Amino acid sequence: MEERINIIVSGVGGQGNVLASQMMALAGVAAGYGAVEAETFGASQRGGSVMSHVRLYKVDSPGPLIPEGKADVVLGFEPMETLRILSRYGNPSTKVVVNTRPVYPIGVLAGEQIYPDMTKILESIEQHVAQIYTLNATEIALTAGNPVVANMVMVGAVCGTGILPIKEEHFLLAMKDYFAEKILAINEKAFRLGMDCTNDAAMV
Amino acid sequence: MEYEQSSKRLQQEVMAPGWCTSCGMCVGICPYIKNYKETSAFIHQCQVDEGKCYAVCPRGKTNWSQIDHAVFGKDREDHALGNFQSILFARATDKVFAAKGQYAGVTSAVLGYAINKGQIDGAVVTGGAPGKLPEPVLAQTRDDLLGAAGSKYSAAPTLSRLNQAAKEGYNHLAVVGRPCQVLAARKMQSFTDDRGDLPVGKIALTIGLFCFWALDADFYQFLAEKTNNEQIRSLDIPVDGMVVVTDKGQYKWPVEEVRSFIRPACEQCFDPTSEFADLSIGSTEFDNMWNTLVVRTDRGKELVDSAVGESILEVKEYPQNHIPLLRQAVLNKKQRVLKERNSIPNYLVLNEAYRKGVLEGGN
Amino acid sequence: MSLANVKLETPGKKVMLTGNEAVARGAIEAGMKYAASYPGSPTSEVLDILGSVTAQFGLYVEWSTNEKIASEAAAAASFAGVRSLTIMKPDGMNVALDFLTSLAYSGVNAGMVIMVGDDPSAHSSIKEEDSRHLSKLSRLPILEPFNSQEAKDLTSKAFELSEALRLPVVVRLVTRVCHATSLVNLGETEHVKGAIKAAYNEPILCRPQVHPDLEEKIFKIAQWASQQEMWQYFGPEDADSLVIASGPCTLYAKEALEILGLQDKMGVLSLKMTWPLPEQGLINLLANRKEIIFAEEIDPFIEENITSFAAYHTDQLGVIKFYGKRNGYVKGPLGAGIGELNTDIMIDSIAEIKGLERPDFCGSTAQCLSAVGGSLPERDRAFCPGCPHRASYWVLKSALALEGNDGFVLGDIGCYAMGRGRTGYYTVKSVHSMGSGIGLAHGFGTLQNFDFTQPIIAVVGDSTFYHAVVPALINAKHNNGQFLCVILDNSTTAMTGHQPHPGTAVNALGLEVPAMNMENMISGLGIKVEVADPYDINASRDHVLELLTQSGPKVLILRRECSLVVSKKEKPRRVTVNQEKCIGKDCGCNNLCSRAFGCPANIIDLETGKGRIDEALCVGCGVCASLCPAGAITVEEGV
Repeated sequence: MEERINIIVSGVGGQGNVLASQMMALAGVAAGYGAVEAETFGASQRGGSVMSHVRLYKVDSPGPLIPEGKADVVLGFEPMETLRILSRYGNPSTKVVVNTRPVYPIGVLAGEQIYPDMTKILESIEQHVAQIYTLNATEIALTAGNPVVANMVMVGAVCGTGILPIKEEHFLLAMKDYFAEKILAINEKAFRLGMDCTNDAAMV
Repeated sequence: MEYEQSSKRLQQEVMAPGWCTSCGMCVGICPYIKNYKETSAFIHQCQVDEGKCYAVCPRGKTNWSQIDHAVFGKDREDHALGNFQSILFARATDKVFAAKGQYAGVTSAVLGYAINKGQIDGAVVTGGAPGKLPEPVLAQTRDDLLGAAGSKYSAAPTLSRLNQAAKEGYNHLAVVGRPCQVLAARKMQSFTDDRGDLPVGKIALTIGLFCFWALDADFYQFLAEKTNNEQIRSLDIPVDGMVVVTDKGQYKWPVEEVRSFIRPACEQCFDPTSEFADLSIGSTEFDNMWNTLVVRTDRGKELVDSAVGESILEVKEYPQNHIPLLRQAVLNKKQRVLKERNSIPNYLVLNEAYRKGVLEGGN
Repeated sequence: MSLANVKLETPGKKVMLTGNEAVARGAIEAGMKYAASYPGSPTSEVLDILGSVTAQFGLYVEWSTNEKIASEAAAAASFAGVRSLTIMKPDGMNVALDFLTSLAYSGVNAGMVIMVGDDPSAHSSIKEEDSRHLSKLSRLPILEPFNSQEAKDLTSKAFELSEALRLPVVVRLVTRVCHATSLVNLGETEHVKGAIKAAYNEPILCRPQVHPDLEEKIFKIAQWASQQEMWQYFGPEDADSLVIASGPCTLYAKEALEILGLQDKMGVLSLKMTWPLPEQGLINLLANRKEIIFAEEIDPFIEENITSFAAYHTDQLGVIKFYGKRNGYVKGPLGAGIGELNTDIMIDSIAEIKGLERPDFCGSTAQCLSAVGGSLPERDRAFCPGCPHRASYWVLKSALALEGNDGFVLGDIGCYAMGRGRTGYYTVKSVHSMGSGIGLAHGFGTLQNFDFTQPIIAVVGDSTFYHAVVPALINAKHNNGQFLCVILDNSTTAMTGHQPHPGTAVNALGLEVPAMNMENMISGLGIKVEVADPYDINASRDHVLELLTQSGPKVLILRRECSLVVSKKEKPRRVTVNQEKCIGKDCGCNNLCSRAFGCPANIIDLETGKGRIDEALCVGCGVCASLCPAGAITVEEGV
């Protein structure tokens, strides 16, 4: 089979994972790959679990959905959602970048569900994949000036790990293509901050 | 008093069966209980096991002897009228208070006096235009008192204003209420609450009114129709019937016509004379120039004595031949409550002496 | 995947487009000049995009108030000689169907394309509906693209086809094509202004007498599809085992065969025109095949049509073994025809049919949940922080609790449909279709003769109001229905992406227009209407209670702008919880803000049991502050 790279962006509706996955696809194209990308839109956005699939290929365009167990990289915007995705799409060679800030389901806030122990979540991820990188992307985004750019922090982080054959210059091209003038700067800043986190291989 | 069980109990024992008296105590203690006009209800469920709502409710389990001990330090001897020091005829010397009051303006006069003497910084009373739905009021001035004077015949949740006033920073409040409201206030006063979200230490004076029943709020629509929507000046329900004075004239109906509006919750009431108040005030039923004034606690006595001493109130002996009539009227109600359906209502906890005392007619 | 790509005037350039963008681009390249639609997920972006390029390509676009009107408007343009496009989801096709079925009879003039976006698994819908049944019922040919390139090409082709036959053509996508992005070669765009060339004076009537002509057109299209080879075949020519697929199932089937190592043994026949069947072509394609597996969304539509076709052609085709949804061979975890297909389901189904072992790629990672007890809590959808609907449902359920006579709320379609879940305190008891809430409310509200006395409330959104509610209000006034209609006016069509509607002061062309005044309209019908602010919980609650005591139909507008829109315009005010004042878990609170009210920005500090505000989520609406019994939540003014 030809070279294919399957990336999943998982999180909670409203975290901006759609933008992140589009950015991954665009950067992939800039790096010379073909790309297919699929998202969950609409109602799921309202605080439900969401995931986007990004598939990079060289020759033959695959379908939009990644088969079970075939995720090469998971960008987890939320710890519990990351684990959820891995249980279905992950395999022992998967590499994971995860934002450690939890978003509580309203059932947890209502006292009717229990959010799993964070240490257990991260440990389990670490034990079942090839590599895990952790960062608090939301906090970093707050320091950049707006929590809404946490998604670009995550994109920067995955770039910084070097696990993808997509380089910084490809991402920068994609960002210039995608963002309007007045919001480009803050998104680039967030991207760089994310890269800084993982550049030094800050692995768990 | 210990914190008793949860909001579930309040729902099941009081609200769902329709025994809520709309006293208003729980509204304001609990953010999950709201009132609209004279209905109180849970708008959401809490999951607390031990809550204050049930504990303060006058239709939650109430040990009658226990309350006597909490307020008076002893059991009662008179099972009709409860604990009291004296029973008098009284009237306000201030002609304006007397005129504005339902009968003799004693409640307004006592409150006015307590405010002037700095004994209270506000009074939680029930105001509203004659013949219209009443509403809780915090009275602080003479005008406030005059505005709120006059009997109200339906079940305003007055105590919700008490809770609010306490949060607003008032520390010495008077409360004027129906007997169920007095009982709720006494149950609340039994808490030793450190958190400060209950007006526990903030009630300086409790005045209870005589009340044999309250009417449903639908009554006001009936009233408006019966009086052709004329402006109502005053309203009275003496023994023989209802009397309404409007700007166009006077209307009278037999009391039977308003009986259909009596709130079902009132059939369970065991306390027509506000047995646990500092002072109980009511009609004499035969002389509208005077009020019946029952002085119960030391606090009540102290206030009445000084008010009389400073000529705010005029008092005289309660006609001895009328005391048995008053006692009988009260006993009739209490006995009906005990004998109806051959069982005591769920909330009433009476020891044997109390029960016998009522059934056998008094003291 | 961006407007920028759709706008490009660089034929031959390869860009990333979503299926929706590709349809828009395909229409533009075919010289479409008129587009009308009502927002419906997964299709809403098509008109959003077209509305942003009207000047560049000389287009007219409009957000109509419902899909029937949108279809009629587009048809008129076609009658007058302008190529037109209308876009809808299946629920919208239900609304437009009375017109569309007649339109097939009357025919059209310039090419008219109906794009329908189905939603397998109902990710953004209340039901899974396969619109192809409706297209077939209406006698409208169906083209199904499987990726963005196809979406563009088939849309363009659809205009030609429609014009040649004088019949509207349906281009049918599903969510995984609408919202999937892939590379597309751009074509030339037409800038010709859509001028009407000839005076319109031909009668265009729907009459039963034209039925034979319609059937003749269908026959011609089937022939054309055979001649034009409206399919694509992947795999060995002489495979005796085939998957017949349409839409993205084509790609799922292809990948499944690769993974199972069957790509050299089995073929995939992807049909581009899925109705009518290219019968002549099929006879050739299916001759000598022994086994056919069907892969399509949502219903076994092609499956039923082809198996029926094969039954009539046993002479030419012999007996073929068919496997599909009808006979339970192709099915997901919830059963055949329920939920969307994907590569995994195709792998499972084909492996079972072929007696192969299903490969496992997850390995030990599949066990990663055992450390946390084997499962994870599901995430209920919730109203966004600051959403006025949360406040409105708090108001409504409080009011009905106080009213005390088992009143209930009937719901409708939009973000506020979530009122049926935890986030809306399970307040809404019914959701059926656009405008059904009020129709049901009227029905309940006329049951007095049957001793029905429960108070009735219908909630509708502002966009729903313009879509379907006005006739229902007229009916309520005329027939004296006793109910309260609560319009949740957040000044936008939120769920589908904040499209404008007649109550907003801007239209699809981006032009400022006078915003229509709902109150005036409703009072004009002689119905009592009042306005309140849902953020003002106590006042709104009493307002509802007051209206419930009145007779006849009443309307209360709870008006407050969508918090997603507001938070884009304004910097949020800072909200904090005073940890000393917060009573948290105790009586008199029991975590009212987070547990009961449930705004995602109201979180609990799990150690102290006290409330806190999640700054990343809070938009500063202040409603929780007004509810806090301890006065512990404060909102900073003017930051």
